[in-house]
Amino acid sequence: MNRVAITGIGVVSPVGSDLEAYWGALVEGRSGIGPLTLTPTERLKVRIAAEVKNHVPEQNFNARALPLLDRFAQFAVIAARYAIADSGLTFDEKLAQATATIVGTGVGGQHTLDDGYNRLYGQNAVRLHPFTIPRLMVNAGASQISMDLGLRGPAFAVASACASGTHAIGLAFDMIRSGRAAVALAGGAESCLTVGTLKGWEALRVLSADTCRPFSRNRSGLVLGEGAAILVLESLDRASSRDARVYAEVRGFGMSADAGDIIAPNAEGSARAMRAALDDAQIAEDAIDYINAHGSGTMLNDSTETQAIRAVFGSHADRLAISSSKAVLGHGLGAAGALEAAATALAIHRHVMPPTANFEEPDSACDLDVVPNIARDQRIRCAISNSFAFGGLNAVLALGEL
Amino acid sequence: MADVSDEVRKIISKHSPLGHVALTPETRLDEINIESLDLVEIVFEIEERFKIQVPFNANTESRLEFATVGQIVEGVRSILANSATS
Repeated sequence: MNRVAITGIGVVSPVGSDLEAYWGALVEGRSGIGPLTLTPTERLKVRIAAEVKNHVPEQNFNARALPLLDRFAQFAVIAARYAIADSGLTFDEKLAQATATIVGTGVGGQHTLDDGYNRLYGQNAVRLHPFTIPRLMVNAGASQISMDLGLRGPAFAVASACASGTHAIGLAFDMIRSGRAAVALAGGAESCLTVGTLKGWEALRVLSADTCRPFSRNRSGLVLGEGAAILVLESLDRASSRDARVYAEVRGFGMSADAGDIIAPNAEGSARAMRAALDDAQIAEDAIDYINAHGSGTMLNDSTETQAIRAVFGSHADRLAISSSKAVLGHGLGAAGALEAAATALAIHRHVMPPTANFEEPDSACDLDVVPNIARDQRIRCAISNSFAFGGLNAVLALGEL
Repeated sequence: MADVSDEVRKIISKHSPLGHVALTPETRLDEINIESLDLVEIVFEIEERFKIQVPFNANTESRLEFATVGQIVEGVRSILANSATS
């Protein structure tokens, strides 16, 4: 059994694609939520989102590669390049064949799908672009990363809606721990701010009209986001032997299914995933100093998550701190868990708890220390990162300092 | 147009797992085991049936205005009245 280290992080996010910009926004609580600009809004009620800004595809991909890349896959590849550069890893043929690529995504190439349907049904087009299928397939992110970086080991996509990125990292952790892979690039990518997808979300009536205020009494729903995060995982032995910087150790991973409501969260199911992560990591409840919450900003999620944390941690729940990154990042869906795992690893490495931004009013149903608005300098021995997805699919990563 | 109250009650009772139950204006949706996702579907069907837009968000105070059968019927009537005069 190998110990597993996080040695590289790459992000493409609504608050920047440079790791320092990303961390700076999280710590200062600067939100990436703003007016929706990626798609025409005249037929939409929703007018806000956390969009990735200043993304110029041509700066990152040549004219031959670009027609094959939906926006979500572009984000995946860029984040993977940053992560590898950040890790300092170089690949010979042997290592390339022993490197896994696992990318979570909720829905895959929605821009391609939306544009294709618009052409077909809206404009009565006779044909679609020949790359429509390879662009939209859910595994396009994983495939494009493997091709771009020449990684020839196990590669696949993971789909569990809002927990996809977390499940992907958890599977990669298992593969490094067991020795099935020597290195893994794992995370999530999503970009689905299209008219079709947004209409679907509107119909669920869970979107906020103004902003995302996790754990605030006056929270008004979630705000959709987009982006990608890829982490580099490798055995601690390998990391040590090459003197790599280790952000954090992945200590454990827990999963569960609610087997209940398709949409509404369930405290018992969430709690089981948290307990499973702690058991897997063999760490006691009172060693957890920080929780990066799912914290979507819906009425139901934030109160249910609070109950679940109380159920797992008992009296220690009042001694640990939790915060949600979604006020800053929006809800990146398949990318969210990976963006948040990155935030959790950085929090451990830098001894800082990022705040819950946009916090306005305490809610008795969310009565934990949510680190309102102001970051806190504090050592974090161990932390968990929670993801609770539509479909009742829960995934929790336990990370620790070295 | 058929009676708004009858139409709305028909839509609501279809979503109750208790099957066909007698609905009075005072009947609370939670009494007949209608959950949040059922309510989202009920609002959708009402919008389609009456060709109206119902301002309902599961995360705002508006959810509290949709707790009873009578509140929903009154809400629909008021939207229909406003759209008839505008």
